[in-house]
Parts: sequence; structure tokens; C-alpha cells
Amino acid sequence: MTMSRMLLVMDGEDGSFNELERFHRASIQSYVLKRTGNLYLTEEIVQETFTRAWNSRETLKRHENPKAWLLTVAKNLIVDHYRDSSRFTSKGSELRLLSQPQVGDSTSNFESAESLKDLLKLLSEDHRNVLMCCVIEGYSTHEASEILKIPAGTVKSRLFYALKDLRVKLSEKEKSIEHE
Amino acid sequence: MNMSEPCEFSFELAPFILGELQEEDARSVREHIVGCDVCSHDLEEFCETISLLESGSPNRRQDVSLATVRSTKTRARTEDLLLDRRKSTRWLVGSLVAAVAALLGFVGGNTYSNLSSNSMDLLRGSQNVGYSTVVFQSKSWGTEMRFTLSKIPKVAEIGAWVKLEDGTRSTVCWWPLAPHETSGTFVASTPLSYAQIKSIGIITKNSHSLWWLPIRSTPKQ
Repeated sequence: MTMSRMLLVMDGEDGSFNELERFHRASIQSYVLKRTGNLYLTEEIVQETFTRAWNSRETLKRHENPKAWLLTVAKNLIVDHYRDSSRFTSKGSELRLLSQPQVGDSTSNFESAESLKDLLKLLSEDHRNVLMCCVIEGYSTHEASEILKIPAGTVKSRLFYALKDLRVKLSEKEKSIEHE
Repeated sequence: MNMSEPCEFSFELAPFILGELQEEDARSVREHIVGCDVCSHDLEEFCETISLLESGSPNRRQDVSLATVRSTKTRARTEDLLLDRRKSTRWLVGSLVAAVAALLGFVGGNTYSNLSSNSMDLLRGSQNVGYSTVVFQSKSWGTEMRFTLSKIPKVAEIGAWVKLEDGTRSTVCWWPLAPHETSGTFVASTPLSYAQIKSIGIITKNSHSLWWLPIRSTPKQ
């Protein structure tokens, strides 16, 4: 059953599912997109999430936090997708324990790198503030506009250039670590 | 078009990814991205960067409640039982088995009824290595770490390490990989308590770090 058909049926029985889908679709879509970076895959996973929501609509009606339920389903579908390509293997029986700690071991790239917070410090204050507001604190563009006292359009453009800038800084950091 | 120059939709990309556009605006942006190389490229990069930023931001205002974590734990509990299940029945059968196992208090000799566990997304390293998670489970003898890795490069062996508060690092174990193995679940045990572990990671023999997770940062003096 397609989503539109499902919603038509649902409207006839109970508008609450339609409302639920309308209310949460954007945030579920955002959650999946951020983790996959792929529009088609995102659409597929979001669609499947709401199909499962429809199948469990009786449970969802009584659920105290439907958004958490939807996010969990979406998250599991993402994991399933990445896991699909190969056979699922458990290695629990093959572990072995090495007890000697290696002081000063430098075998990790990222572990020895500056934290992401430190990377943010390398950005301009304007870029850092807009990333803190919109991405880290989760304020909307309009809320960020009020907090930072700049037009919403400026928030969007700064967000774009801040992400570009951070991307460059991340690449530089990775290259420098790889050369070490 | 020059890949470094923004196009007319570029400034809408971040609000689109963050899910704050109205339905109609989001549709326009989506339709544009499909036909725009610049925005497709930026979208992919921004998604990864935003995801990375959010992973390191426990204070973000989002209501991913405990229910999410609980469900992930249930999922981890069923993972061994999902082996060789067909995809279409995997989820249903796994859930049923987990429910029965929880009732009996038995899952492969270990109960997951202990609530002192944490499920986290692993941060990605220098390569796009997929979406991976780790579940810590406090045991009487220490901590069990269950890594679910969705993408592994073709290497002979991968290992898990833990770093302590005092800066020392210990390789917990190495897992040999079969040539066809590109994903899987790997369990590592350490006598350390969860509170003693500052960060964890997955590495290859050539010292290339695949994933890492700073559990907590030490406050700077």
C-alpha cells in the first residue's frame, strides 16, 4: 500500500495517523538524511518507517513518545541497510584479552587529533556562532536569527559557508594526521 | 558550474538537512538537488559534517528519549539470534525471540536485564565507513563492548582499543576477518569498569583508525 493510499484510508478511519505523519515526517527525514547523505535512500527508509508505523498504529496511539518510536525504527532500518550487503557474523567467541596497556601508543589517527570542539575554535566567530546555534544547540534559522540578531537569510548563508569552512578544516586535519 | 561556487539553492541546503523547511520548499530543494551536481556534492558533505557535529553534542535539543536507547538494547540482545534469518522475517522473529528470551532471563548465558548499559553511535574516521554503533554493558567482571560495524575495509584483522583517564591506552583484542567480511558484530571484554574508560576505537593492523568514540572529555585546566 502506498503512503498516499494509506493516508486516504487512514483519513476515513482516523485522522490521527495523517496528523502524526505530517507532524514528524520532516524530523524523521532529517534524521535519516544526516546519517545517509543520500536522498533516494532517505526517501526509502522514511517511507518504510511510516509503513511500519501504520502497521503498528494501535501501539503508536498509546505510545507516550511516538517520535522516539519512529526514530528507533528509522535507526534500525539504516543499520539493516548497511548490514544487508554481507552476512551477519558474530565474533563473540573469538575474542582474546590482552592485558598489557601500551603507554603512549600512537596508533590512532583521530584519537590523537584535536576534538571537534577544538576544530570549531579555528573558525571565525560568526561561523562558529551560527554552527553552535543551528547544529549543536538545534535552534531553527529564525530562532538563531533572533539570538544572533542577524537576518534569517544571513543565518542561512553563514551556515553554508561555516559548514564549508569546517569541512576544509576537517580535511586538513585528516591529511596532517595521515602524514604523521 | 564551478563546484566551489554556490548555486541559488545552496543556502537552503543546511535548513533542508536540518528538517526545518516547509513541505513545499523542501520538495523544491529536493527536486533541485537531484539535477544539480554542486548541491548533490554539498549535500553529502554537509550531512556528514552535521552528523559529526551532532554526535559530539550531547546537549542538542532533540527528544531522542530513553525509548530509543532501550530499543537499541533490545535489538543488540537479539542480534546473535538473527544469524541466517531472511531479511523479510528478521525483524519480527528477532523481536519475538528477544521477548521470550527476556522472559526467561536467558540470552546466550548472559542477561541484558542489567540497566547499566549505554548505546552510542561511533564517530566516523577519515573515510566514510558507514553507520556503526557500540553498546557498553556493565558486568560483574568489567565491561562488555558490542560493536556493530556496518562497513569494514578489506583487511586481515581489526582491533578494539580503550583509553583510560590517565592517558594510557590498551588494545583489548584483535579479530581476524574472512576475505568476504565487510560488516558484522564484534564483542570485546575488558576488566575495566565503564567509568574508567575515557574513549574507545577500532583500528587496523596498519594503524589506520576506522572509528573512535570519546566517551567523555577531560576538563582543561
